[in-house]
Amino acid sequence: MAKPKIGIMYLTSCSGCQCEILNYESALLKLLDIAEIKYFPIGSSANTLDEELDVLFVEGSVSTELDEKMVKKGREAAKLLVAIGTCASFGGVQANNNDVPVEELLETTYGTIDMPFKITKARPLEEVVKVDYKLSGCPVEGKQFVQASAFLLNGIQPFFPKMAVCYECKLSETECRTLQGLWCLGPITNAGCGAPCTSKGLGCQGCRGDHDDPNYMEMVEVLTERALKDKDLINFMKAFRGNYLKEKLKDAGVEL
Amino acid sequence: MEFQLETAKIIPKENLGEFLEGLKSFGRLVAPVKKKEKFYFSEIDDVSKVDTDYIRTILPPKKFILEYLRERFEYSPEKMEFLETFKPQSQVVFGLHSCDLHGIAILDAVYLKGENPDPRYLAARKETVLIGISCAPDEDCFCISTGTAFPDGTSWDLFFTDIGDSYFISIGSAKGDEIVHSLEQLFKEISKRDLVLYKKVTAEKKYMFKDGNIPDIERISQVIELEFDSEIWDEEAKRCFSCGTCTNTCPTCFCYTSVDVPSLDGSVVKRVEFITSCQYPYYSLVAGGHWFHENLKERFRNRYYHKYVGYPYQIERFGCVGCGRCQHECPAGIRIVDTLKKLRGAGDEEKSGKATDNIHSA
Repeated sequence: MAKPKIGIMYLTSCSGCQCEILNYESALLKLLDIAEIKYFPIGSSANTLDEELDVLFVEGSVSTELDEKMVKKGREAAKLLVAIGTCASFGGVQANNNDVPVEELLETTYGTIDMPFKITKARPLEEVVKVDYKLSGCPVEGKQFVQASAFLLNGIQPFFPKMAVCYECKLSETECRTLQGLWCLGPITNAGCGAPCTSKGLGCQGCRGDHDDPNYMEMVEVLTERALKDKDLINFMKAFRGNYLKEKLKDAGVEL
Repeated sequence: MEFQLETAKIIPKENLGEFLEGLKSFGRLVAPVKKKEKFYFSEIDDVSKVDTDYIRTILPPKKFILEYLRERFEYSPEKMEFLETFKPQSQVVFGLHSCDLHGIAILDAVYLKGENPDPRYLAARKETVLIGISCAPDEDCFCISTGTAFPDGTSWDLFFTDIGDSYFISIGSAKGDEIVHSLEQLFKEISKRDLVLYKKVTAEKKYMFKDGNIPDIERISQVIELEFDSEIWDEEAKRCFSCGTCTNTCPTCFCYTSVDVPSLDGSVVKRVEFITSCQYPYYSLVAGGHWFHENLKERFRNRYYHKYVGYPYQIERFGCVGCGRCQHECPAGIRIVDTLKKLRGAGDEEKSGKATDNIHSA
């Protein structure tokens, strides 16, 4: 039987997810044993999208017309397309300013709106192409990437239930950062990361997006009790939820 | 030789270190240790690290009997050969409070009752020695309501009660007796004074709870059933994050998810179980897209139902031991005691005791 073919593509992003994959050497070698990596510009110099891929992993948000072209081409080549990382899943940190007109952002950053190609808002992949599975996280969790690959290459739908970060935080017996008075988004954020931030003494920054039933109303109340208000509150909550925070807050009936 | 099981002994506090060292010959030693402001049960190498001056650990000791993440078996899908990888380890868990001993007794009832006891739980349990220690409650403890303030039954082996300069040791099993005998030189016979002190400190425990901190749970099973549609569930659930902290820190919760995880090349598949929570939406999702608990309120209510209605039907006792972990760790500050009080006292405001006066005087 021919080896399955996989690809790892990146759009507008920091390449952190790909580094996470490259750093996970032991698993990467195992992956190379059983699959052929046909497209991985950051890890290989021979890349092609002209053959059919069994799975294509895509990092980054769709923020330019080049991104759009790339991901559409990737979609055509791939049987399965998996969004890896928060940018590909929800837009990422660059979606923070999606409510500001792009021209204004360009003017502020580059002093001109004259660009060699068209710049758009930072969009998650699913706004442009059909996405079969999402693995959020900033960066994607290496272990979860390998497990997802194992599921997908064996023809099984990956199973990562969307529990709160509190699950992994409590299982590692970390003192509750919310009860300590810190700003922690763990109670509304999807687990799977192993709660590394809370175990190091920080509050969860919410990089993995929502779990199955996030209670925004209570989160806002809890953060407000901890003296995080108005604009600061929004800025904290939207760091990784930029693209959809306002809508979610509105749905939850939160008035700010 | 005539063999007689003893019921109690005395150990001076200065002998505790040596006793703990001696326990290691019965298996790995597990005991509470302090990490910053919190305590947790941990495998002990250096017995001086053991800290018995604690109120509650973050996770209950069940993690050493019923691991939170466990591999059930592995198999090769091609040959369909199954390989069990579980091997129980001899262990002594020292320093459990009465509530946690009851917690394990409840898990025993769930896992071992009936004709088909869980073989792996049984194996782990057989290899585990449980040694309890007395404690003083804080504002989140309510074991006096749930009837779990003192150890009873046969789930434990030894129980230490602090009587000042010594521990009064109750012997609860043949294994406990064996341990005491093997370390005989560390123990003393009970004096009259010891017995008086023991009776005094145990009798005094009930005065250490404040009325406001403990719920009335008389007939609570029926109260909860009859208040099924109460608005109190909506009010309380509104603040819930569905984060599962309450169940994950509960000494009696045992629900888990089972999933087959293939290796990359698909040659080996592991059946993995992990502890989960009824508070997570996915947990009540079944094939066909049906949700047993459709919303937050139903999931929230389910926990109370299981603890105070379900368990009594199943094992004839509550599934709650009053350890207070759920309310102590809840990031939203939801207090099980307050919810129970509200349910128990719903409607009380209007009548303010009058009806009961009439009933009792009639």
